[in-house]
Order: sequence, then structure tokens, then C-alpha cells
Amino acid sequence: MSLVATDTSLDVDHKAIQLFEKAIEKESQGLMSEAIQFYRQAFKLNEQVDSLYRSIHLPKAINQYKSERGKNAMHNVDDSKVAEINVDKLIQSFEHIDANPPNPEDELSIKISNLELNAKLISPLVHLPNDIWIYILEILVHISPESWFRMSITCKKFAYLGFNNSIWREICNLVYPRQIYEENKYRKLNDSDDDLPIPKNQLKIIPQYKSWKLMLNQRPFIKFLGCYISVINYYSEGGKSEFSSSWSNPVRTITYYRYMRFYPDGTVLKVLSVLPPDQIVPYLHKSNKSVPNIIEDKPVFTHDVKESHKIYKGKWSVSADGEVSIIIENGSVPYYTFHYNFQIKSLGGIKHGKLSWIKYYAIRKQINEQDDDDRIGEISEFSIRNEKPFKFSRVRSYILE
Amino acid sequence: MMSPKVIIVSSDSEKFPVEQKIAEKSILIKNMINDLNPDGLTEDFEIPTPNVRANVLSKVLEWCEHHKNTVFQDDEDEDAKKSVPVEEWDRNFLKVDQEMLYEIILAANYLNIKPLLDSGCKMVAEMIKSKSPEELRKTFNIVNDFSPEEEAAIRKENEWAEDR
Repeated sequence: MSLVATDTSLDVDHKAIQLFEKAIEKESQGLMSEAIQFYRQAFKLNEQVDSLYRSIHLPKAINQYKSERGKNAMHNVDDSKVAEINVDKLIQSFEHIDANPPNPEDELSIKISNLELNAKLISPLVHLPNDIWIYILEILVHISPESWFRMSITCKKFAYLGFNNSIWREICNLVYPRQIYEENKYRKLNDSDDDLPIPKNQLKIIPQYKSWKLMLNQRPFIKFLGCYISVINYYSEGGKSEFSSSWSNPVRTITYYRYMRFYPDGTVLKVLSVLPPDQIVPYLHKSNKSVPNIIEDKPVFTHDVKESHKIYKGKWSVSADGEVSIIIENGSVPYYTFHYNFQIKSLGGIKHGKLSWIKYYAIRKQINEQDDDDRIGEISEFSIRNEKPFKFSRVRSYILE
Repeated sequence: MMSPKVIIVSSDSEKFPVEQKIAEKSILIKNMINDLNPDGLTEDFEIPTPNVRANVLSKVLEWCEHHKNTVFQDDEDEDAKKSVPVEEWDRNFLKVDQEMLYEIILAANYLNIKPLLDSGCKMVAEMIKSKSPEELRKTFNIVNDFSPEEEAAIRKENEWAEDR
């Protein structure tokens, strides 16, 4: 008898957790309206669904986190102590520190034979000369920046090698020569690199900074290996139904997104859509004119493209102090050229990870030679009051091209 | 008449007679031949490699033999070179244990065989790719010697730079 009862309550709990997970997913995509619906349903089934969820998922998440990061994961650190550490000096102090194998006693292994001991030796690869390791880490900077960081955070020896001056130089050389500088726009045809206001040769620029690392910290740049996304939520007030005795009108949250992807050739892609990132980001590529419809979990490209599926192509440039300007000639309105201006800013610790709005306007243009509309050249400025800054997200599938 | 051979002697005194063309994949050996025989080889020429053991040397020479006729691009564009994946034959050739890979990389470095050194380094880079820090510690059997504060400070200051 009681067995049946627990069984059904388990089922209900299971259902509640599923709804709760769905809500979290929607919330993480910025879909507040849908998230709230799922949260409500989940709490209706079980009032304690949040603590239930935590009791099941938190230990799992912690274990996962620990197994990825190792002994210092989940360790409470004193933020003021962390802030006092001079990281450059700290890393410099690792210069003569060797990597060590784990202490066999920590591993709970029993030293039965020499064979056992052999298996516990440090990998010979660790002893490759420093210049070869730096070369390997430079390769990683190119092919998998995440892996460069993960290797460099394994231990002191690799932090010394991975956060080395020549690695920071490598990153600077990957980043800055690919920027499209506003200041360089009016170069003459036969100007050599040296004549440019902002030369590509970084050796000409490094004297302005104390180190390559500081250059990367202080000098704004556009990132190519990911997507800039702006999530906009707003409330729309609906009407009351005829016999409603409610004091207030029903409110609906509406979510939409702006997406931008930049290329080193000066192309920028722009999408304005209600579709969440997972339906846009994978398809945001120069060769696509639109994102596909998702039909039965499969992407299908159709000929008649909905506005929210369109990918618009524009041109971008950035000034030395980090003001980004974007021009879209063939946007959603045929007689407008759209102009966007943003300032590159930092997003907490993530340097240069945010684009804040400065200005958004359109200029009326001539559609064809017969077009002699009076309004040609007229500037219409759009309000940016409801716009939200763009945040950069790294996308693994994006490569430098 | 048979053309003279280059005889490469391993650290454990094993002799490997090879064609001059194959031996000259090593820039070190090539320069030694040219410096000591300005008029070209007239007879067999012995070169000791005191840093390279026989089993490693034979592996390295197998690579040189295979790439006898390969023309390698000059290092004009270092940037592009670093992101080129390892070619199929080298990839299979370098599927060896960590100890052997270590010795091949060291030998290629010492003998100055850039394309082999390059492939070896890229194989190590691929071992590292898509592993978490803790998996990497297991792969190389190294221990995390940071204090929690040190690790937090380094992460805070440097981790953002992987986004670009």
C-alpha cells in the first residue's frame, strides 16, 4: 500500500525536477517568460523542488568540477589574500621548480614490486627542454587556446612555461595584426606596413607597453573565436479580459537576441532574432545567408526566409581606443544604410569581452539611379535606451579564417 | 661505382650506413658533411651521434628514409605552420609510447630535423588537447603544487586570455 504511494510521489518528484531543469535551461538562454512558466509548474508539483534539485545535482556537479580541476577545486579561498598576490612575481618564482609525481602514499597504492614503482614515474615528456615545451604551448595557443590554459594551470613548472613572455607575444601577434583599424582605412595603395598609423608589426608597438601581457590587457581588440550576444528582455502589458476584477493588466516578458560574429577580413555578420543561441550560433557563418528551420531536430534551409532567420552582412572597423564601427549596406530596410557604434569594454575579469552601445542610426540612401527622394542623406537616429550590451562567448567550432 | 655512404653511429656504437640524401635530412649532419668534405663525399663518412641510442636512431632514420623526396616548405610563415595538422604518415609513425616520443623529439632537436621535431611537438600538443587540468596531471603523472590561493590568483588574472 505504502509502496504504491512512494512510487507515485517519486514519479511526481521526478517530473518536478525535469520541469525545474527545463526552467533553468530557459533561464540561462534569457527566456524569462518561459522559464517562469516551468518554475511555476515545477513548484506546483513539489514545493521544495529547488532543494530537492540541489540535493541531487549539486554533489554531482561538485564531483565533476573536482575531477576536472583537482585538489584546489571547491577550496574556500580568502579573496583579500588572493588579491594581494602579484601574479607576475609569483610565476617568475617558479622558474627553477620541477614538476613532481604524486606521492605514492596519497594514491593509496601498495608498493609491492618495482613494477608498481615504475608505473608511478613522471612522464618523460615533462623533461623536454623548456624551449621545446614553449613551442608546444605556442602550438596550443594556435589550435586550442583552452588547452593552452589548462596545461599551464596543471602545476608551477607549466605555469612558468605557459604564462611566459613569448606566449603573450604569440597571442598578441595572433590578435592585433588581424584587427581592421579605422586609422588605417585611408592608407595609400603603396604605403608599406611601416607607414601605417597602426602597423601590423607588433615590435613597432610594444615599446608603448611595459610587456606583451600588458599590451593584451590594455589594448582593446575584437575577438574572432566566438560570438557576441546581446539579450534583450522587455515587458509588454496586455489587456484585461472583459469581466476581470484584477487590479493590474497581465504582463508578458518578451525576449530577443542580437548576434554578431566578426571576421579578420572586415566582414561582420548580424542577426536579430527571437531564436535562442543554440539555434543561431552554429549556423552563423559567412557562407550562410540565413539560419535553418529546425524541423524534427534537423536543420532545414528553406528558400523563403523569415526575417528572424536572416543573416545580414556588414563591414567593421575598430579604432585604437576600442570604438567599433559597423556599417550594414543591405540590411532589413532597402533604402537605409545602418550604422552601429560600440565601445569595447571589459566584462568583470574578462578583458575586452563586452561591447557597449554608443550610437545606432541609419542614413537614407539612393536605391537606384532613378531614386531622387528628398530624404536621401537624411539621418535617422534610433534609441538605444532598451538595448543591452553584447557579451562575448567563445564558440569551439569557430576557427580563424 | 657505388656512391659513398654516410655511416651514422649511435651512442651505443651501432652503425647505420645510409644514403647521403637520407642522412642530410638532418641539418646537423648535412653541415658536418659539407664542412669536412668541401669537394663532396669520395668515400664512406662516419658520423657519431653521442646523444642518440640505436633504437631511437633507427626510428629517426626510418622517418628520413620515408621523407627522402619530400620537399618541406621553408619556415616563412611560422604562424601558419603551427596550425597545420600532423600529416597522416607522421601521425601513425609517432604513435609510440611517451618515452619513445620523448627520445624522438630530443633526437630531432639535436640532429636539427625541423619537420620531425614539428610533428613530434604537435603530437604532444594533441595529447594535451581537450583534456581537463586534472586529466593532464594524470596523463603526465604530475602533481598540482599550487596553494589554493596561488591557483585562484593565476586563474583570475590569466584565464580570460583563452578567449580571443
